[in-house]
Amino acid sequence: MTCTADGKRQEDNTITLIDDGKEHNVQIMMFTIAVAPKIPEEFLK
Amino acid sequence: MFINSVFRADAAILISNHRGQSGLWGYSISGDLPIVLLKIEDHANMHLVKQLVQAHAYWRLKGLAVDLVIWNEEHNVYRQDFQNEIDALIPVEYKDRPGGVFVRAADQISHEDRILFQTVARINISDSGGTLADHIKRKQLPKVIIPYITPVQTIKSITPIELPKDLIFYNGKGGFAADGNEYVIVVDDKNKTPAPWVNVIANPNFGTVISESGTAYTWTENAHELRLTPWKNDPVCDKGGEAFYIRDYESGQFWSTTLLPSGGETPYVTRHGFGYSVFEHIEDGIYSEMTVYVDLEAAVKFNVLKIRNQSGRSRKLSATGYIEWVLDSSRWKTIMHIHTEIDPDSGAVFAKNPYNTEFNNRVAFFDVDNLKKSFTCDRAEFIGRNGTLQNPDAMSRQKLSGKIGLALDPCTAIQVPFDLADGEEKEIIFRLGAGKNSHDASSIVKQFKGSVAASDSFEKVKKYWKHTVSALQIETPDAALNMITNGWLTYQTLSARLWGRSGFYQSGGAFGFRDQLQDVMSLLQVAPQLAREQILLCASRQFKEGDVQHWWHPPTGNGVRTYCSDDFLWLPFATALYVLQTEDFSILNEPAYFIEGRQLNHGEESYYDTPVKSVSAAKLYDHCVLAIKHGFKYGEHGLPLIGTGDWNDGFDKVGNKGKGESVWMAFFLYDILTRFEPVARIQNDLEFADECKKQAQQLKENIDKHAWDGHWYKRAWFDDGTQLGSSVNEECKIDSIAQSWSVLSGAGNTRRIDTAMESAYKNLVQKDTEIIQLLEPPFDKSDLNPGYIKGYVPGVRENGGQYTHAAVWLTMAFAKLGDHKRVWELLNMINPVNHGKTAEEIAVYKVEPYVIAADVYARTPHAGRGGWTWYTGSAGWMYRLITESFLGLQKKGSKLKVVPCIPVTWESFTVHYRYKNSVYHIVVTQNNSTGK
Repeated sequence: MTCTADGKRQEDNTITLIDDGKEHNVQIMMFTIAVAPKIPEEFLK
Repeated sequence: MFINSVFRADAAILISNHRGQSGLWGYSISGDLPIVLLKIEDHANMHLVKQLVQAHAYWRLKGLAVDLVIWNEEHNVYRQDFQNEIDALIPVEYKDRPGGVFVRAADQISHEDRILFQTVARINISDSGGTLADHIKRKQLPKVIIPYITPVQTIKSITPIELPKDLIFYNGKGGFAADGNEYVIVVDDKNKTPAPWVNVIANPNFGTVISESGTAYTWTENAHELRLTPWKNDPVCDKGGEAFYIRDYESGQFWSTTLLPSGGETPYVTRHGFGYSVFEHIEDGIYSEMTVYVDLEAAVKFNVLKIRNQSGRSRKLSATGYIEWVLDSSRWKTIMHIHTEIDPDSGAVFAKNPYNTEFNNRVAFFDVDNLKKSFTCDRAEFIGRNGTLQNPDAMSRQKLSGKIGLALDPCTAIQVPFDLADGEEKEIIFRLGAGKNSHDASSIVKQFKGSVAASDSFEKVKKYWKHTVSALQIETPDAALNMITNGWLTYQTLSARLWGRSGFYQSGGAFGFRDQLQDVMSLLQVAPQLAREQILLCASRQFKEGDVQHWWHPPTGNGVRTYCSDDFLWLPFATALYVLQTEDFSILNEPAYFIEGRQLNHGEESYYDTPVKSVSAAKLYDHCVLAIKHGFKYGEHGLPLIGTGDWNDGFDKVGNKGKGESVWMAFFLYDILTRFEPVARIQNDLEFADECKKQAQQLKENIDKHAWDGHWYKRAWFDDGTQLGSSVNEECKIDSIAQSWSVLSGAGNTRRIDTAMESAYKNLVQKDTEIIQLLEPPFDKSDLNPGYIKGYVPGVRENGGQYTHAAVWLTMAFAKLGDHKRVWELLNMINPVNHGKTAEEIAVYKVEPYVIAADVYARTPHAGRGGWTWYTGSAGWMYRLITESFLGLQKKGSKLKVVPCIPVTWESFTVHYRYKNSVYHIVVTQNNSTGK
């Protein structure tokens, strides 16, 4: 998962909030691996 | 025994009383039961005593509890003989007992108390007034002298109001306005909502609950202890003690501005918004719009009527506002003691209840701007004999009589007559409110007189709510989710839970120690200052021993001390969350006084009292440490004692003998210890930080060793060692919160939590009725006696219904496990909007689809029916589930981490997030590996 805030690329999905009275546009890209959660074996019997 | 003013004492006596109910206690009379007073002076009138004692026996036979007080006023030397003779008439078992007969020598009663007795007696009889028959014959109800209107035939217009279009999720009764900020309901005599759909409108010290049909009740300072008008809690008839009418002088026809109590012939449109409700209607060519709101700070409620004549001819009309006074918790408790008068300073009608023990100085008012008005303060006169608010007698008379004063059936009705030319509009503003005393009340009346003041107040209300809810707005692909998140959840939490502490089904007025602490945790993003204030307020309700008041009534502080095991721990829980999320470390050093009271006696589960403020204070951090240490009380399995209940109050018999243990408490305490450890390190309290770590580790081991049941975690152990929430139980085999908190706390064994959650999903999620049960099977016929939970019908509330609070926790736990699919599935089940999108859905769910219900019934014939709405802490937790767990907005100081757990099918969502004076527009785009 990466995050681009105000044009600056960040290493993770964390935004540093600034109290400057302005409006900020932030875009976050999520890369989701769409796998089903692991169901305990006993429930699959 | 109904109160009839004709048998009350004279006004001169009533006005001179300055004593309250407690003045009776010295005479062994509680004042809780109706009192009949017989004054007997002459031995020759002994037959009167016999008659009254006989009457009292008859009342007893019919189950009517009455205290008969007999004053022996004989002054001569035979007084004692007379006394003995009276005593001989009274059966011993009814002498000097509640509902019995009390004989007292009059010369041993002080002058002030004589006035008090005569004031509180519903029937005053004196032998100087003759026989009983003489008393009854002499006392006649005064006749109303105001003549009736003589109606004339008119041609009636039947054009109804234009109904709203394009409502979202319209279900045949109502739907959301386009921006989601109003819920719009259309009702008429034949098409009503299945239950009252209300709005809870409040500021921190004053508020009102008003239904879609206009039935309302209003309070000041405390929604339970100081009601201005009656809370009737009648979801079938939706009766109330406030009404507003319009009348046509020509036809004599009148109708209420809302569907109840006297609806017109065409539909009403009701719009519930944030901080206000609006009611629109057209009757016989007269359009009315009534806007109801309370000021943001002052104790004043506005009913602003705009009336427009669109009938094509000139009309002679009147507007009438009607209020039934309470000025305490119950009208029946106060009806005899309320005085009404005109305040010469402001011109408003004042109502006072000097008999109220704690609020005897408070003064309520009802006012309207117009000088040309008439009024009455006698309800019996307004509604007429055997009358109702649907068809009050006074509405057929030319004006109101001007009756005001004491010993009335207290109300205030104010009528304003006016003429309207065709096309003309008039605004009439009624104000209901209260002051701390007459001067304060007068000041408030004068401050808010006039349409400019009313309009300014309304603008402030709208601005406040717009600003508050706009702190976080979401745009997701799901409109139902957007609707409930962008305002309604925060409004419910703040207006009903934190400020009003009231709803239609519950009107508690008290602060629950853990209740509002949990509520404010959901406000950390939108109003962190409110969380700070509530945390410090709660610290000031902690006893020196570490426990706290389970709940207390502001402003007096009266409340209960219990053996409840979790409430005091919510203080460090909320404090740690607040500190770590806001990085406002200064709160830890804020001082708060303790309270002091006697400790619970052995075997005593709780007591109600007013604790005193201690002379000793401590900083918040030390309050939290004390609370945590108070929680270090473990049982045989090394798990926390459950006492007389934990989060589930209904489990009050599981551990009331001091041995029962709670598995949920173990998870909860573990959670607190791990949250608080870094707080202790920030405070440089390394010793306690290490203690937290050590205790947490030990708890985790004990949970792992004892609490696993094979497929899920047990819930508790009874005092006698019997397990609860186990497969060995006949009922309550599995309980939701032991599973969800195994995940949320982090204390569950990573090899077991998947199994525990799968078991919860399999056993507690009802897909057909779309509810998530708290436990299964409900308590019913087994020998288990966990406490009052068993008093609920199986499948209702905590007893195996959906207790929404717990349903939200289960969903949060799935989010923590990263189970996108189930989070979305369960979130949709909980969202009330999804239970009211269609006529079929709302026919089952019945209650308001725009706010959270505390519970949803689980079993036929009521499966899927919503229970207690508005007054529920699940609203705040639902907000946290959506914003923090689902959309993943996790704030820590000035860092906002975004870790969503959304459906894989969503391409994106947007959040508009306000941070102090900045606004962040965050667009989250999802690109899943399956390529969709």
